[in-house]
Amino acid sequence: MRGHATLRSADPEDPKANLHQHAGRIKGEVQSLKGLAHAFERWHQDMNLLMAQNRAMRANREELHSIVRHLTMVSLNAKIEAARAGESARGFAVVATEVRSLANRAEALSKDFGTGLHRNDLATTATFQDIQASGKLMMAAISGLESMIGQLRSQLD
Amino acid sequence: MISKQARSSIDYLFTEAARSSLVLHPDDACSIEPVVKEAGIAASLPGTVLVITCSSFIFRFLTLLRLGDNSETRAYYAQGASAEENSADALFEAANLCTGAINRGLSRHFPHVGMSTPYALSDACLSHLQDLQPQDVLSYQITIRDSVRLRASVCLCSYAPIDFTVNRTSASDAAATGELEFFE
Repeated sequence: MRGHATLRSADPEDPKANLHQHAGRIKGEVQSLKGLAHAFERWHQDMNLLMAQNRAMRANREELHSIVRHLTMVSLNAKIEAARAGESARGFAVVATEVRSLANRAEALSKDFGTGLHRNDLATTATFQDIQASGKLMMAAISGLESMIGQLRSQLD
Repeated sequence: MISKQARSSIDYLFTEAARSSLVLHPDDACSIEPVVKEAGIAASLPGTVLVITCSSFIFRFLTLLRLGDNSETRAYYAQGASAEENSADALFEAANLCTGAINRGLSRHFPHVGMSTPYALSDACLSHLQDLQPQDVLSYQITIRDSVRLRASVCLCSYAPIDFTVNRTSASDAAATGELEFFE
């Protein structure tokens, strides 16, 4: 650490100077720890990005859900029309049933996707808030430590 | 991992904080009832839920607040303004004050406690609280002036044994006279 390199050795015969030097080193360490704020800021930005991506994925999922609903309606109508047409539309009825089956599978997938997004939102928010709250408590602890070292140095002066 | 008296203390801190911050006028009658079973709450109060976290090295407590879906509740928090977002803003502020009071209460027993800013989530997320592996979830029905309704939950996640008892007089003083917690 830079704080260690810039300090010269104290006179071993002078305990007060030694203590002063130690306090100076600790102060340097504490000041460098305040750089943690940059790491917290970086994490916050990353988490904000994740949350924005979650929102975009939720919007996409709503669109997908709407398409699936439409597909279900189309397949139902196709089955009804096939039934009306009777024997001549047997092949068409098979296709309509297949489309309905695909729509059901897509709907189940869309539902799972929606559930996954909600779980993702909760986990991301909980992590984001934990980092934010823990960042605040750590910065407060470092400031408290800095203040205590300041008091110690002024007592030594 | 969370002792019985610690759970009771968190329950006390929350109810005092809710009375001091979610009730906008001192004369408004307020009842806070514990809800034993969480099932069905999301269906009865659709919409968004506000989340704020208090963290220490050994725990995190998430406070979750939902406004009742009725006009009286929205009007109460909009405080006369007609815009829908006013009630949401007011609830954000009230939630922030509420969790700030809990945070101050906790900081008397834990030297290092910090608090996040609030965030709004879909209430569908509540079905997945168990993903966070909480030791306990305390849930409440809050009724103000008979018609203003909120639901609240405090999700308790601990990573070491937690045992403390709040001084009930000083904790309520802290809730009532605490400093404002500002958004960042």
